[in-house]
Amino acid sequence: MRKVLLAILCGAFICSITLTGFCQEQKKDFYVYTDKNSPLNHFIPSGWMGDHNDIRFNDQATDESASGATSIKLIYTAKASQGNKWAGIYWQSAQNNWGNRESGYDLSDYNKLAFQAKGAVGGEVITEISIGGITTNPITGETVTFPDSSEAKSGPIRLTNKWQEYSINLAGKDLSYINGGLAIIFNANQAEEEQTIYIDDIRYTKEKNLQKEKTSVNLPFYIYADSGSLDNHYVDSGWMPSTAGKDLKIDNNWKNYPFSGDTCIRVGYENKSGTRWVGVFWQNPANNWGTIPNAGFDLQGASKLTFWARGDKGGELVTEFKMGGLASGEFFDSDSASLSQVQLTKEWKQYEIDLRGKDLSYIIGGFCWSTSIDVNDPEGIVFYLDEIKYEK
Amino acid sequence: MKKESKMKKAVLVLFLVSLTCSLGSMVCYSQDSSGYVNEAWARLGKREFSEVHILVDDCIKEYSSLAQDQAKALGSFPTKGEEENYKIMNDIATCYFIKGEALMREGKTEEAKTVFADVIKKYPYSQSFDPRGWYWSIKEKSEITLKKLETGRVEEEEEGKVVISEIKLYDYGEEFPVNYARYGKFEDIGEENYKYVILNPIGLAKATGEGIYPNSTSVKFDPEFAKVKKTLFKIDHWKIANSRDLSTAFYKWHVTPESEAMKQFIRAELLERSGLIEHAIKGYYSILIHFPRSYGWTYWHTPWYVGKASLYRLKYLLRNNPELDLILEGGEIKIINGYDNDIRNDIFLVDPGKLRSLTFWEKKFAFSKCGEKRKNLEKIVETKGEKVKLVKYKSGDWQLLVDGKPFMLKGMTYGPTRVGESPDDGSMQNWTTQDLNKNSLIDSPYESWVDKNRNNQQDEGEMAVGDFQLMKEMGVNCLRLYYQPFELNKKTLGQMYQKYGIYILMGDFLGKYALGSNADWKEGTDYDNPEHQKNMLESVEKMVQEFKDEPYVLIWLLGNENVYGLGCNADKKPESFFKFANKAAQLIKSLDPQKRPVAIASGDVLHLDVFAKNCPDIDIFGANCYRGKYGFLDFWDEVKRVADKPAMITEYGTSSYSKGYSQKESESYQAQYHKDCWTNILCNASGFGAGNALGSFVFEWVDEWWKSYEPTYHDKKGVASGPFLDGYYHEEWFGICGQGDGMSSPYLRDLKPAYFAYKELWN
Repeated sequence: MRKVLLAILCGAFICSITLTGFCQEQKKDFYVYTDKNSPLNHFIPSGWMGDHNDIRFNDQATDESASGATSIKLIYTAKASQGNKWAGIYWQSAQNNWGNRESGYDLSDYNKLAFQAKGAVGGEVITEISIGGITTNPITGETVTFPDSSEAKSGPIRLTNKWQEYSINLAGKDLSYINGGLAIIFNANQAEEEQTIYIDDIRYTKEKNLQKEKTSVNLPFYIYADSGSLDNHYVDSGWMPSTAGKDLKIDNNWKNYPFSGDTCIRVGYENKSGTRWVGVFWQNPANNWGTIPNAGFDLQGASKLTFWARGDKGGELVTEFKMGGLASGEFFDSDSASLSQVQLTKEWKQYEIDLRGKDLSYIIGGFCWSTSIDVNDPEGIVFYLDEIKYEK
Repeated sequence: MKKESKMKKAVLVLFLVSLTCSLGSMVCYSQDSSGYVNEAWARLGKREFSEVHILVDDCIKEYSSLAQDQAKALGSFPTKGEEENYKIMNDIATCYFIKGEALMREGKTEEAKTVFADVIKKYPYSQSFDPRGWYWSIKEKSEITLKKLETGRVEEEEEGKVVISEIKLYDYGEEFPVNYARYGKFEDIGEENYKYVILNPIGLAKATGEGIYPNSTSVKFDPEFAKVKKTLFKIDHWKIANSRDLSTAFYKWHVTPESEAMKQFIRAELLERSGLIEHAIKGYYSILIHFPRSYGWTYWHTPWYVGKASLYRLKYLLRNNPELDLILEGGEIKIINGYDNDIRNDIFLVDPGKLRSLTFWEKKFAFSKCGEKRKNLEKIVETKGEKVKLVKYKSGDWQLLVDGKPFMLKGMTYGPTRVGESPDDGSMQNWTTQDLNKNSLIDSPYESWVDKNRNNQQDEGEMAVGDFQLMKEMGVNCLRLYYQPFELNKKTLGQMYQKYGIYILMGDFLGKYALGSNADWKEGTDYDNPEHQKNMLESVEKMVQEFKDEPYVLIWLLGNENVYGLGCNADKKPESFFKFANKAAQLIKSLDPQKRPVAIASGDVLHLDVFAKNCPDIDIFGANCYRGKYGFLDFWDEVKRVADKPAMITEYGTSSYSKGYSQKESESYQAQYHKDCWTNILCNASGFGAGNALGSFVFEWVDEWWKSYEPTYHDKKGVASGPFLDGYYHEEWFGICGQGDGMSSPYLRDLKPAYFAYKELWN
């Protein structure tokens, strides 16, 4: 007991004399996770989403740690076992609190979320890491009783096999009530195969002189550059209509004769369901038809959406290529633009959707195509897409 | 040799089966589920209840296990077009329904209730096919019947509160009409590769204004939009499009997931309905400019061309609003190969035309009915027929002459079915002989009376006048009748002609609904089958032999929209059908000493090109046409261009009931609809427009209550979507006359405003 008291006394003394500044910073940090069972931890990893069976979670991993004895180990199998092609976990202020209880924290004293992360082998991808954003009931679309006061996100992040610090700039955000302390999202297309990642020392902190981040994106802004590319945005989750699963075979990692890079998207369509039409929307986040707040990218500054396409035989007709226009919820696209009745050639050809004069301030449906068997070979069609991007 | 042995076996099997049937019970069993259903329906119609029970019980016993498997796979109704994949489930559920109906008619109410409740529970997503072209929900009908059995009356879903609003534009745009050349360039006008390339989208959006492509941003500044935008996602965009809440519908149709062309079309229509005609013109015209090749599908999966519809709506608005001082110069969308159901082979030649001010001479005629000067027909260059004659003038126009005088067909589809009677249960009577009060006067033609005050009672002064007299006063000069399935009372028809001057368009169904071919319903008429052909020609010959000397036969008519299928394969083999129809026309001409014209009753212009190629002996192209209040759009032009024949409309009309509208509003709409259609006909009769319109046949004289199944109840159900006031076909309300509360049927006639509209137009 004496030894302990002495150590505390010495520690306090050292702080007060030599490292005052450092100690004060340490005090201010608000931890989500530092070590298993640490009294400094806040929030509970109770909000499992998407293909949650694809995530194996261990918050007392001892095989790796950035500091202390443990870290969080996440294995994402990317099997899309529940058909969503994405999975994630929310750390909530109280167990399973999706906004129905007032247990959130006032984090107004902080302006940054920082954390350490690494992959088991390097190259693993966290599609999105975010804070806040629990504001509406995902089923009814209604505002929850105790919504988060803000939302911020970052990603995708490709990890190395070394511990590295990552952060989200929260300067200027209203952090007066945060229930969703952290969310980590994986995407099957980006992960491609099973991956293991480690995270440690997740904390809200205050950085002096940190400026508010500009919200609009850098152009060119890719929907699809190559399979698994970190430049990719949006998820091709919006399969339409509900029978599309029977009719479509899509390979985002098609390596035979891409327009550029190593891969392109191959779309195979057969009218097996009898529905006669089909389409796919690239959404942010996956399966967002307009019900999720603060989910749209600000694409202002882009004057066109360009993409390359070709048909397997030539002559395939895509009824519509489109961006925006998702409106099945309160938080819908700010605009839409399209290119209709596009007859594809056998060779790659670039197409362009004119965005001049469009309101691109909030785009959740980044790209879309739709077609019908009635304008195509009754046996079905195959076509390819590549280099889909917003440009100046 | 092997073949011969197989054949012998087959004959033996057939013989044994027929022997079993004849020796066994009255009902022959071995059949698939549809066979049981068809037979059970037929027996139900004949009130042969014990046979009905044997059939449906056997079918249920044999197939219910498969049906239950199919039912388990469904969580909602199958996608349209997928219904056949659940055929066994549908058949078994229909068997339950027929059983319930049989028990009900036998007076076994409690047992019937159990059966209806059973089918509702077991097969909630089953549907039965109506031969007129749609599926109906067995659960829904069973629930209605169950309720009827429990309460003694038929109840329909109550109509909710009707929201009525009009569009108030925030941004009208800077130009009307829009000068498109200023903001982009036209390429290959009139060609397959027509294109309008926008060079200055921002300038164009400013010029067009709110809701007109490519302007998608003005609406965001519209304060009304700001008020409702967060609630729009809760609204069904098709339901609201047909509602009276035009403002909300307009905003909703900025954010619907439909194509830009469809969104623009509906917004233009909403603008038109709001009375914002200039903006509606901008909307329709923008479709010609940007999306002339766009298409949609009708309920029956026939193509519907948005660009063409927009073109004719634009013309309609310009003609009906001469004060705008505008005309569309040029403006044509030709669709090569556009008469089949296959849109893959369509080639569009597009000239969007240019909106410009009227010239001095154009202004002179702008306020006339057709907006143009009557053409000089010049001399007759072609003649067909004798007493009833078709003539073609050098101008290319056609005319029908009777006894040398021009004769415009002012026709009526006449089938005065008494309330409570239905062909579905075999209770429909032959109106040409029906004499319920046994006073030797045929009921509807001679004893109907007008319920002037619509109190459902025959008050003093509401004397029997008869349909023939009423139609004569209305101006009707011809009825469309088929000599199948009932034998027509020649005496009645003769009197109609002699006393009331009304002719007959005498028809043979030519294998439609398997009538005349002796094919069974399931198999349907096959126009390549020599046996079916022989039977049909015999049927046609019988008609002509029976009626050729009757002076009231004006024109011979073949078929009734056979090209849509239903009991025949004309939809699948249009060439075989039209070739055969031509054979039938040749036969008629060889038998009719008066060489009266032969017409066909087709389905709109579906397979018009096949008709043109294969029917040189059919003199008149007739078609049932339901294209909305704008008239018949390009119908006349297309018939002239493709077939160069005179044309007539063999069915058209709309209902006098519309959901969300008062009776007065609905009936007034019906009257206006007919007025507009007739104007369209006149403006394409000789001397005007396409110059080939001979007239038309209104569908129909009186409301028929059996059409949505329950014949004692005037059902308001919209059976299919269509271009009408509330967007639906209300099949039981198409009559020019109503039957009141049905208690005085077949005598009572409520003359709707459409009657008086025609009285004015046709006299």
